Amino acid sequence: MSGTDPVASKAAKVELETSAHAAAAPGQKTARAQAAKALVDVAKSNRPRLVRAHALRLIGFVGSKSDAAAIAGLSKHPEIGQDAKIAIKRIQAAK
Amino acid sequence: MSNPAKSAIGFPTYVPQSAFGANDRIVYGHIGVGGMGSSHIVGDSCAALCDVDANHLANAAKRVQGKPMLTDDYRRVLDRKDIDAVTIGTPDHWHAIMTVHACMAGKDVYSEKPVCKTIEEGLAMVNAARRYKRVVQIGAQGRSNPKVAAAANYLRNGQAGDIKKVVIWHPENLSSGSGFETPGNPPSHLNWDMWLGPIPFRPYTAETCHFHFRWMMDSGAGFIRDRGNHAISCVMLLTGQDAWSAPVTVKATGKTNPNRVYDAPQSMNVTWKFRNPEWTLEWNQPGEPNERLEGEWGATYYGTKDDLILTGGDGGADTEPKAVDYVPPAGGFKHEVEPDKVDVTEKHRRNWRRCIKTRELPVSDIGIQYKTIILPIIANISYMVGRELTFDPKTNRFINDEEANRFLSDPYREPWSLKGY
Repeated sequence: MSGTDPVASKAAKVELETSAHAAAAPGQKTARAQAAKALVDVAKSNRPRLVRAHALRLIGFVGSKSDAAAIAGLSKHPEIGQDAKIAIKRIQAAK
Repeated sequence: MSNPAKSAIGFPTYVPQSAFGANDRIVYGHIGVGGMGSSHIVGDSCAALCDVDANHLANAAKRVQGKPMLTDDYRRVLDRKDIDAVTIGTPDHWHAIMTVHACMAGKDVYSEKPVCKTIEEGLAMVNAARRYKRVVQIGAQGRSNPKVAAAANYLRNGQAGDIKKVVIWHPENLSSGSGFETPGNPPSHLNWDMWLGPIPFRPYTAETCHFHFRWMMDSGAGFIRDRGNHAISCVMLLTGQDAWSAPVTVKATGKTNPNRVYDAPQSMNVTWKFRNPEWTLEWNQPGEPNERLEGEWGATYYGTKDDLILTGGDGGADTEPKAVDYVPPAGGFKHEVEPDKVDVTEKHRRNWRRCIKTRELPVSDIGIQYKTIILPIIANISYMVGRELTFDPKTNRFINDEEANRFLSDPYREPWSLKGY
């Protein structure tokens, strides 16, 4: 997603978005939880800033309250702290 | 003059509460003066200019008499007690927050289209306008266009029968080509952090900043919400559906350009299915112009007795002679526009200025335009989640789709908030 080939990076980003949102379609509880878990792993990894920020954005859409708790520690991160806060706010606002 | 906004939605006309008299001067602050926003500058009654690009500010200042305050922070404009009204010509992601804060500060507002990014923002804008009793005009100036009015008069008086389908055609987003710009430091004349404001950080590139922000979902969302605000505003006026209130189903598909950074789809097809009454709206991008009356973009209205074409629908528009020549019957529907012999955008601004003095609802009032912008917003959400959705305008939520409902608001980067500044 943030490698040296921007075309490949963009394709990976689009694929990640597509699969995450597909997993979050109504009635797919297990797939959604698995997608969120994979995204949390990316967010907490040492991958580049924009990759982790994008994972956090998607966690905001597909994640649960336990996923929000899992990324809470990132909210003070100097680079992706705001992205983590936005994801947590989105999850907390979900009804 | 009759007020279409009032008749269509049924909102009350405000009791006058400003000290304005018919000849009193309105003092303006202009926020975002680089693109379309620069056209709104009132050179002989401007107290402040605001832009995060110092080059924009310098150019705008040349057109203003005296020495207006120059700032890159709109909050300093809102702090000024001598300013009555503001125009907002920033990128999309600032429209709602600035409008809400301006209403809180007691300013009347002319904000460029598109209205806003999210459902939460649109509702906040309507609520702020009503709570603080401000005149909020959206720059969807098709409603001040005599050609649009002629088409509305033709259709609203039943000349085409019941409208069952409207098909909009529009060229692709301007995100073609190939190449990814390497992010770098913003130019010294640009306050990039303030340009981003409430949206998540992204590194500066010229290809995602001025004008081209439209092809990024965070700051734009493609022509469907940009020109689509104009096009769909006209559709709702011409079909008499400003107050639509039954759930609408939306299905959107599209494709981004894999060789550019932009995440808004370059091509897009959307179908909205309305109930009570049942009719269908299509957005085809690209779409085929109707050869009977060609234009870069426009819509064909299919009724049970006839059809009608309206091309454009912003400052420029055209329609067929049968509508241009049509005279509404006494007591029939008649959409009024400002009578002055000036261009359409100036008519639209004059409508706002007149309403500032009379405290009437303007022709493109935020209440009407919120109902308009719901449609491209939910189309983009359908595109992003990749499935058909049903939106209930009474609850302002999707039915039975928890993930889609998380798109109804976009939490802001700190310290920005719709609650105040």
